[in-house]
Amino acid sequence: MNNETEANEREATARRHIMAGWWAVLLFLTLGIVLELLHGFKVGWYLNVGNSTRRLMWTLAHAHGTLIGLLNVAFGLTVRHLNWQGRSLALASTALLCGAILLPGGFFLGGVVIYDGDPGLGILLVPVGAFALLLGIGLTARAATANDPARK
Amino acid sequence: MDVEAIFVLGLFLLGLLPLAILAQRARSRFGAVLAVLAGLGTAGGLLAMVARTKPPIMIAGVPTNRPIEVHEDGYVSSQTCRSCHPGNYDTWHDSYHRTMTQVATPETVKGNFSNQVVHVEGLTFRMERIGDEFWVEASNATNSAAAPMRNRVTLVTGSHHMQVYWIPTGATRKLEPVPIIYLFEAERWIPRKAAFLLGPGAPPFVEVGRWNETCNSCHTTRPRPRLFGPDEMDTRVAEFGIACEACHGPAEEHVRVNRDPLRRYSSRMAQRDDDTIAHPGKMSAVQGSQVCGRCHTIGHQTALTASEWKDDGVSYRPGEDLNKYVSLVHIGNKALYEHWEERQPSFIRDRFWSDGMVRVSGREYNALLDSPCYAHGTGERQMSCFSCHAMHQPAGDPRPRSEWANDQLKPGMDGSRACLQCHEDIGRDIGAHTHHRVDSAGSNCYNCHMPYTTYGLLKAMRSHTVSSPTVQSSVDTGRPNACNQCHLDKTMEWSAEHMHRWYGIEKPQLTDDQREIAASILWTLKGDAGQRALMAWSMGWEPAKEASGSDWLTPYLLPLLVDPYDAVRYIAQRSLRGVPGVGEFSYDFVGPESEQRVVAQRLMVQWRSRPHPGEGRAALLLDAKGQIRQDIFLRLFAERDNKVVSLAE
Repeated sequence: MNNETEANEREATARRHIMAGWWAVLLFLTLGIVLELLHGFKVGWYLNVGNSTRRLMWTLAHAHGTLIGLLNVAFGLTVRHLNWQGRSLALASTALLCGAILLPGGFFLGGVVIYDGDPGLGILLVPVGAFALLLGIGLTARAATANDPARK
Repeated sequence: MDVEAIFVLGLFLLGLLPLAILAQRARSRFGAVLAVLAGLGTAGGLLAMVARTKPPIMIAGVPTNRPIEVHEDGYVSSQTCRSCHPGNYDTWHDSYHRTMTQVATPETVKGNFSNQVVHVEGLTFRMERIGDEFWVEASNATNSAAAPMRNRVTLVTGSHHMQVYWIPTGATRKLEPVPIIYLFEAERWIPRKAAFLLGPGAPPFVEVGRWNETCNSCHTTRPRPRLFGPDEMDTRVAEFGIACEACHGPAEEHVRVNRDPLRRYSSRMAQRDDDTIAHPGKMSAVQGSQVCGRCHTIGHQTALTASEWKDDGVSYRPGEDLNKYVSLVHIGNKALYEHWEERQPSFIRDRFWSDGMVRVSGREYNALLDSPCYAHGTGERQMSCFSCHAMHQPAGDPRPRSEWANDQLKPGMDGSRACLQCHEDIGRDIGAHTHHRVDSAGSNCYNCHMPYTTYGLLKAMRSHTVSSPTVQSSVDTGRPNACNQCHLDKTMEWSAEHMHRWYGIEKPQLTDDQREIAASILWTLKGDAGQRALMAWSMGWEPAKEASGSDWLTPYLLPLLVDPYDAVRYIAQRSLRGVPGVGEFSYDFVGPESEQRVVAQRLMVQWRSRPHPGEGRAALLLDAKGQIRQDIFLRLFAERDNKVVSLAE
């Protein structure tokens, strides 16, 4: 693969993450507004003590989704500034996208159906998403370190 | 596979999509496979960590002068249940079961402790709040030389109608009640004995050690009296109030095994019942009702020696056979009933009508046992406590929590639907059965088949023995029949005639008075204290006032303002305040009789001064001018049944 192709792929990856990140921020901020409305109208399905698990799950989905969206935007910008290529970039990108879907999505689905103090089965996606996120962040941190001019 | 699982799987696959694309692009799929395996490994590790987390250790406070909470014998307390069952915890938390016994704090004490001074039978009580502490000072009004006794309130009982306050005796954990209680409806302090239907002249309650010996048995969870001597009481409970484990049994094992998330989710997916915890709502009608019957009962302990009981209390656990622990006294168990009737007549007399029907509140289980819907029901069609009641307010119940908590009825069970669950045939044309307007109180199954013939908490309550009204039973037992309890202005003859015509019930032999004078008047003027209390209540019951008119009630409620029984006087004044035209009046039901008499006389003069229709109202002892026929009134009053009645509610 020549340098130009690598640069194009890197740019495509960056764009993908910036785009996915902002859409995720939009989606999960919208969820935040919905949650505010549920508070505003005192909707028992969300606020009653018996539904506290749902409330927790959706709050977590909102917070994690927004932050992971911003993380994807940061990843996209980081990729543009790093001379990073190859399988580790592809793996980090994939892991971050997986995490962006599975982690907040798992929290959200876990709150749709609840069993008293336990979330629904969606919660099983959360640890998978968390691991993917961890992997992506780890690879990015390593790449950032490797590309640090001061260390060269 | 249910919808939830499909969504989860769908999202999971979506989440793996980028991974799949990577794997396709990658020269080797090894990295992708490694990532998936590592992800699953991480998730598994996290779950294992959660499963190994140790339970929180609950440390109860250890004051030395009152009973304490100790989590032993597998009891873990409602705080532990709360984390996994927040909804059920929440509805229970708002129930009066929870607040049956509480440690005295500013949140739990509902009485007025703002330097209130109360005089009762030669004693003066000063109720005072100091910071977050509640103090009672008792002094002898006739002996000013005697030093007043000051005590800090430690526990409180009740939070629905009235509240009782317990103070330490100074001897280990032995408690005694303050002899005055706070009555919420009247917003005042009253002598404790005035809250019960007790014979006149009954001595003030002296109940030193009563909480340790008796009250803890039903007002707490897993009580252990630990009575080692008259002044040596180390009473412990798993939890004050009637908490989760009172009905579900000790939960330690349930908590332990369900720390494993795989167990929890697999049980749910398989819709498998959890056999580590009792669930009264899923038990048979017999077993489930026994859980309530552990306390809502009249019985004697069996299979326990006195020393076993004094140490460990009744060790019944929900799901067990209650009969192994308690001999249930009810007319259906004729031999035992008659044994007690012979051995201790007052035990039966204070709790049952003469035909064996329960007449006091809080003993609903015995009443249920003698109900045909329970005794002859089978399977799904056997009535149980849970046919009508729900210990947790169901989700989606539109009623305010306070309304549900009042009697913990299931939604819709405050009317005929409760009976029509099984009696569908009657429900198809309810008017044909009741002969009353379909939307009237006369077509509410409860009013005829569970009338207000039990007494407790200064009011009448519905009998929990499901029965059909007959005049014969009124003649035989003195218990008001449902017809005359609503049609207060009608005679027993009138009721018997209608029941004969509508249902073919044979008319009983009646006296002249029973044929000619409204039954309510006979029970009010001639009846015993129990009957008078029920009539005083009925005269304030809106459906009865609607059916019978209310302008004639005053002359019959007024004699009850000077009744020898505190409880009768209290109920009468409450009903009287609701009679149109009477309005507000100043009256102290535990005040001097002379003052009560003045109030009654003034209200009588006021009633006489107003015109009342008299024609056609002979059964109400009204003459043509609408005035009371004094001769008959006084004759009936002179025939009052003055036997001493003490109802053991």
